[in-house]
Amino acid sequence: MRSSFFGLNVAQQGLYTARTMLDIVNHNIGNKETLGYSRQYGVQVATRPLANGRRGMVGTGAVVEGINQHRNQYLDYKYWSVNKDLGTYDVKSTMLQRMELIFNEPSDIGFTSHFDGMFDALQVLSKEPADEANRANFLASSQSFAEFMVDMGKQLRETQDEANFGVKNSVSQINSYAEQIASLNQQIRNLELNGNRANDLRDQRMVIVDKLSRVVGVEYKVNTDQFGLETVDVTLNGQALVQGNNFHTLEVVQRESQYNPEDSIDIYDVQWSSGKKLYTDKLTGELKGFLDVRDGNGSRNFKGTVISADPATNTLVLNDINRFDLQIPGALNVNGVEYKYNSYTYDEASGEITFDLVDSPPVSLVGEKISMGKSNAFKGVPYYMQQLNTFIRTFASEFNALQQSGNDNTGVPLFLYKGYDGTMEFDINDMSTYTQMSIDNFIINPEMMDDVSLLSTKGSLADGEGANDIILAMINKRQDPTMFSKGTPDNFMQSVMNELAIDVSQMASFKNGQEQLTNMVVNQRLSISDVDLEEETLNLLKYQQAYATSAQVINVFDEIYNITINQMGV
Amino acid sequence: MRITNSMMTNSVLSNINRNRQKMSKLEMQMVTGKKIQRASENPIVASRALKFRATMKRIGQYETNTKDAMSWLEVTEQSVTNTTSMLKRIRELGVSGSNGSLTTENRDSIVTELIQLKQQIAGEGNGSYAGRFMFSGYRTDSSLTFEEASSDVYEITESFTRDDMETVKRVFDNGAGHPEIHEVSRIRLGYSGLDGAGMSIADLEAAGFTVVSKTSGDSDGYNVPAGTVHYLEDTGELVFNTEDVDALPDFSITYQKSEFTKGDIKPEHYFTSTNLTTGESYTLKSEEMNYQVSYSQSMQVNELGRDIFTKDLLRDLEEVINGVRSIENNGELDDELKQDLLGEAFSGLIGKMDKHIQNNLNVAAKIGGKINRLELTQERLDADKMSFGELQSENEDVDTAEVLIQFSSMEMIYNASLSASAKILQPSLLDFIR
Repeated sequence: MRSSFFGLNVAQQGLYTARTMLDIVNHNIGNKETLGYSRQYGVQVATRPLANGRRGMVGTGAVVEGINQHRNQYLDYKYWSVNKDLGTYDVKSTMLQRMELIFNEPSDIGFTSHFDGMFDALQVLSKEPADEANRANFLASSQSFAEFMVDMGKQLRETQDEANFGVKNSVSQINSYAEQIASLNQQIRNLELNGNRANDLRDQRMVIVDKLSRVVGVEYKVNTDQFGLETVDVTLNGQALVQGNNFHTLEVVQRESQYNPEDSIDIYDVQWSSGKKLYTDKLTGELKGFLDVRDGNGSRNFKGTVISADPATNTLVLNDINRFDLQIPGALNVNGVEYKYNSYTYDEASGEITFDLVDSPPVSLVGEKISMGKSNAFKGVPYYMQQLNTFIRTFASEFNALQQSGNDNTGVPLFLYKGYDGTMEFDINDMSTYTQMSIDNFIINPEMMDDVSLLSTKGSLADGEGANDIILAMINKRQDPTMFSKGTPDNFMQSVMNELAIDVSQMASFKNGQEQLTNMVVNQRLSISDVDLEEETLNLLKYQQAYATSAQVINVFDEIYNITINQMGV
Repeated sequence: MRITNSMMTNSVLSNINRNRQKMSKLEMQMVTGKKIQRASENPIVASRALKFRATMKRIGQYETNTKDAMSWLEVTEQSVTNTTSMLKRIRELGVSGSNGSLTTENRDSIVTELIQLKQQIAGEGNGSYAGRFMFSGYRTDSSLTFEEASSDVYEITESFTRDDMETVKRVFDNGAGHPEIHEVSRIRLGYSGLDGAGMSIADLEAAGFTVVSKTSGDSDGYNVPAGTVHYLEDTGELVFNTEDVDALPDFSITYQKSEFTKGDIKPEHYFTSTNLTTGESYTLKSEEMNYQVSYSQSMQVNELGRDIFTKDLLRDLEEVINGVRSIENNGELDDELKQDLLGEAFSGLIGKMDKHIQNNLNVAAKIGGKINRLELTQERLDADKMSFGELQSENEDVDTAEVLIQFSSMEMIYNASLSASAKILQPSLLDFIR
C-alpha cells in the first residue's frame, strides 16, 4: 500500500528537480563569457519505481543525480598540439619581422642607400681627387655607412637580448602555471572526495593547461587512483612538471661559454631547478621560438677535427675547420664534455687552428670531431650577425688593401675597429687579421677622419694630385664578382636580405596556416562546450514550465486531499 | 555542428578583420604607389627592386660623369681651337716676314707680335677646369708653363736618336776671312739659356766624342771639328760635325737650367727631371685621368700639355724671335746676307707652323671624336634609364586603376559583411517569446 501523500511527494520532487535544472541554466547564462567555461548539464534520472501490486510499477518522479559538463578531451589534446606550434611560429614570425625592419629594404633609408652614398662620394672624389671637401665628404659617407652597419648589429643584438628575455619569461610562466595546476589538482581532489565533479575548477585547470601549451608543448595524462579519483600529471620532455599536487620548476642559469662568437654575454640556459639537464632541442611552443631566434646559427657554429692533442702543453690542434673568428675565451665541446680555452692561433697557410686549453686534453681526442656550442639549423640572430660580419670583414679587407697599397704602400687602412691598437697589420691574404673586426666595433680610421690627406687616391707617391687610380679601383670593387662567393657586395647583401625576407614570409604563412588550424579546433571546442543563449532560453522555458506544472500537480493533490479528508461522508 | 553565439561573434570578428587586412593592404598600395612595403611581402619583387634601384643609381652616376667629361673635353677643345688660330696667325706673320721688301721697323713689329703670341700660347697651356690645370696631367695644381720667373735649379735629362738631328743654316767664318752661310748639323735641347755646370753626355763620350761647352757667340761655336760635340749653353743646342752624323749613337744628355722666365715650359711636365732646389724628381707617365662613363667604359678626359703645346712649338718661336734679333744686330753681316738670312728665318717658320697646326688639328679631331662618343654614350644611358625605369616601375609600382577597382570591390564586400553581421548578431530568441 502506498503512502497517502505519495503524489504530493512526487510533485515535490518535480519542483526540486526543475529548480535544480533552472539553477544550472542560470549558472550557464552567468558564465557565458567566462574564459574556458564549458556548459554544464544536470543528469536527471527517474527515481526508483514502487511495485504496486498487480497494477504494475508506479513511477516515483525524477531527481538530479549529478551535474556534468560538455567537454571533449580529444579536442583538448588536439588544441594543445596545434597551439604549441602556433606559439613557435608566432614568436618566430614576430621576431623575424623585427629583424627585417632592421635591414629596412626596400626603402630610401636602408643599407643600399648608405652603401650608395659611399660610392657616390667616391665617384665625385675620382673626378677631383685632391679636393679636400671631396675627401671629407667620402669619409663622412663612409662613416655613416659604418655607423649604419654598427647600428644594424646593435639592433640585432637587442633582438637577441629580447629573445633571451623571452626565454627567461617563458620559464617563469611555465613555473607559475605548474604551480597553479598543482594547486588546482589539490583543490579538485578535496572537492571530489565525496564523489561530485568540481566542474568549474576543472575548467580553470584546463584554461591554465591551454595557456601552458602555448608557452611550451607538454604531455597531459589523467590517472585514476585507488579511490577512483582522477588526478592530472603534466610532463615536459617526459619529465614530470606536475604530479598531482606536486610540481617541479625550471630555472635559467647564465651560460658559461658562448655558443657563437656573435652571442651576447648574458645568455640563459634552461635547466630543471633540481639541476637536472633539460634537452631544449625537443621543446616546442613559444619557448622554442625564442630559443631558435636567439641561438639559430644556420648550423654555422665552429666545427673541426682534432689532429693533435698535447697534454703537456695543453694545446689542441684542429684542421678541417669551417671558421676561425672565435671568441676569447671560449669552450669547445666534445661529446658533451667542455674544454675551455684562453686563446687560439690560426695558421692561414696550413688551415690549422691551435687552442691553448685551460686543462690538459686527453690524447684520445685525436681524430674526434669537435664543435662549439650547438648546431641550430634555424637562421636566427647569430646567423645574420655572422653574415654581416663576413660582409664588413671582406669589404673592409678589400678597401683597406687598396688604401694600404696607396702612396707607394705607405697608405693606412680606411676601416678599423674600436680597440684596434695599431700593432697588428691588416692583411687581405690572411683574413685572421680581420677576426677582431665585427659589426659591434666597426669604425672608420679616426686618424683619417682627422687628417683627410691620409686617404690614398693614387698608387705612386710621385704622381700628381690629379691621379685617381686607387679611387677608380675602389669604385670597381663594387662590381667585383669575386669578392664574395655570392658575387659582388651588393649581391651578397641582397641575398642575405632575400634569405631573411623569404624566412619572414614563410614564417608568416606558417603562422597563418597554424592560426586557421587552431581556430578550427577552437570552434570545434566551442561547438561542444560553449553556452548558447538561445538554447539556455529554451531550457529556461522548459524548466519553468516543468516547475509550473509540478506546482499545478500539488494543487490537484491538494484538492484530492480536501475532497478525501473534508468532504467524504464522515 | 552546433553553432553558438560566441562562435558567430568570433567568425564575424575574424571575417571583418580579414577584410580589413585586405583593405589596409590595398590602401597602403594606393597611398605609397608601391606593391610592397616590406621585403617579406614578396621577396622576389623586393630583390628585383633592389637590383633595379642599384642599376638606376649607376646609370645616374654615369650620366653625371658623362656630363662632367663632356664639359672638360669642351673646355679643352676650346683651348686647342684658340691655339690653332694663334698658330695660323703666326704662319701669316711668317709669310709676310719672308717678304724681302720689309723694313727693319716692319720686322720689329712682326717680332713684337710673335713675342706676344708666344706668351699667349704659353698662357693657353695654363688653361684650367674647375680651378685645376687641365694640361698638367696628374699635377693639376701645377701650371704647364711658368707663370712667373723662377730661379729653381732643374736637372733635366733628354734622350735623342740620330733622327732628331736637323740641318740648319748658320753664319760663321770658316777660314775664308769673312762670314758665310754654312749648313750645320744640330740637335736642339728643350731650353735655351742653360747652365754651364752639371752637363754630361756619358753616352757620346763613351762613343769617343769630345764634348766641349761653347756659346753661339764664340767664333767657332758652330764650326765643329770631326769627333767633337759643341754644347751651346745660350741657345741650347748640340752641334755636330756633319761627317759624324751617320755614326751617331742613341744618347741621353743631362744638363741644368736655373733661370726660367715667365712662359717657359715647366720641366716636370715635359722631361725626366729633378728640381734640385726642392729635391723633387719627376718621371714622365701617360697620366690619364679617366672618368667612368658607362658600365665598363671609361674615358680619358685630359690631354697632356706636352702633346699640344709641344716643346718644339715654343722653341721654334723662340728661335725665330732670337734669330731675327741677332741677325739684325750683327754688324759683321752685309745687307744682302742679312736679307737672305731673315727671309730664310721667316720662311722656315711657315713650314714649321704647318706642322704644328696639323698636330693641333689632329688633337682637336681626337677630342671631337671623344665628344661624339660621349654623346652616343649619353643617348644610350638615356635609353637605358628609360627602359630600366620602366622595368623598375613595372616591378614595384602599382597599377593605380587596378588597385582602385580592387579597393572598391573590397569596400563593397566589407560593407556587405558588416550588414550581414548586424543582421545575424542582433536578434535573439527573447525578442520573439511572448
